[in-house]
Amino acid sequence: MATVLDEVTTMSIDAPYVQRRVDDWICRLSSLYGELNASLPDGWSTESATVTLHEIIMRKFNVPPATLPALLFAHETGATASLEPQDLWVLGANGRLYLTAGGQRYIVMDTADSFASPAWQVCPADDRWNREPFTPDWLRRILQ
Amino acid sequence: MKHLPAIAALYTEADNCLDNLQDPASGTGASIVEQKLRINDHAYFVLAWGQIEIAINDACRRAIEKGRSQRDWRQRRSWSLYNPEDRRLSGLRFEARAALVLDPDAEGGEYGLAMRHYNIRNQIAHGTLLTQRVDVTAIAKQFFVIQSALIS
Repeated sequence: MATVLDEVTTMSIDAPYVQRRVDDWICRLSSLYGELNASLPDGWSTESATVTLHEIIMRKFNVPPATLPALLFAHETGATASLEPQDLWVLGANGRLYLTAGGQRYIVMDTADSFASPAWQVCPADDRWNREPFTPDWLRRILQ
Repeated sequence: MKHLPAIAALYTEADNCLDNLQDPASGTGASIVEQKLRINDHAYFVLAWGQIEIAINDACRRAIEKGRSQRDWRQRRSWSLYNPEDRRLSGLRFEARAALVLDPDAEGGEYGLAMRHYNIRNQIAHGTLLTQRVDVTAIAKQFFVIQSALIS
């Protein structure tokens, strides 16, 4: 398995590889949202949204923009939260998302190698040393 | 590595400040901010790299001193080629310095990790702006892993 660090330093990549990474990102996101959706705390519901991904490396290899799923959370009291993919090609992570909830921003990142089973971790955006596993339980705790 | 936590903390502040400038309604504005974020990542990466490079140099210096202090000349002779007092360690290239204190065959792969980061450092320091973002905190954690594998 490779990482973005390997891609930049030792691998030769091409457009089909870049496209495969994008497709894999969409799969990982969909699977993560499925897990989160399945165990929302009481009173919360979700709505799908989309963001466009067209990172420099995609443009470099003429890979077309991709539409990524995002997740908007709403509570019956009016409270909201959102989970949006941010970067795919980032040294040190296999993709990152921003979670905004309760007035706090969190960074969710996949710490696994490319094309491996995801290992989601989360940290507050202003305390990045403090990483912990990102699980449906963790999200429930934050939303409640 | 004593400055690495401070560098990572300042990076977090700067990254958050720049990120707050993102305007989701403005594609152009967002792309300018993205470029600033990327340049900021690279600047802090190089700063952070300096910390692991010093740690590797110091470990290398200690290994040379230890080798030169061997009683047996047969053990000592190869180490005596290098001067630990010399700032450049007698012209030892980074690859050689790293190989003296990180086992290239070790299971954890820290030598390879250090060399790949060195490659990134060289690309940035010699003028290439990478297309990728850098999670400087995640990279700093990797630098601590490399540091813990150093053998003098």
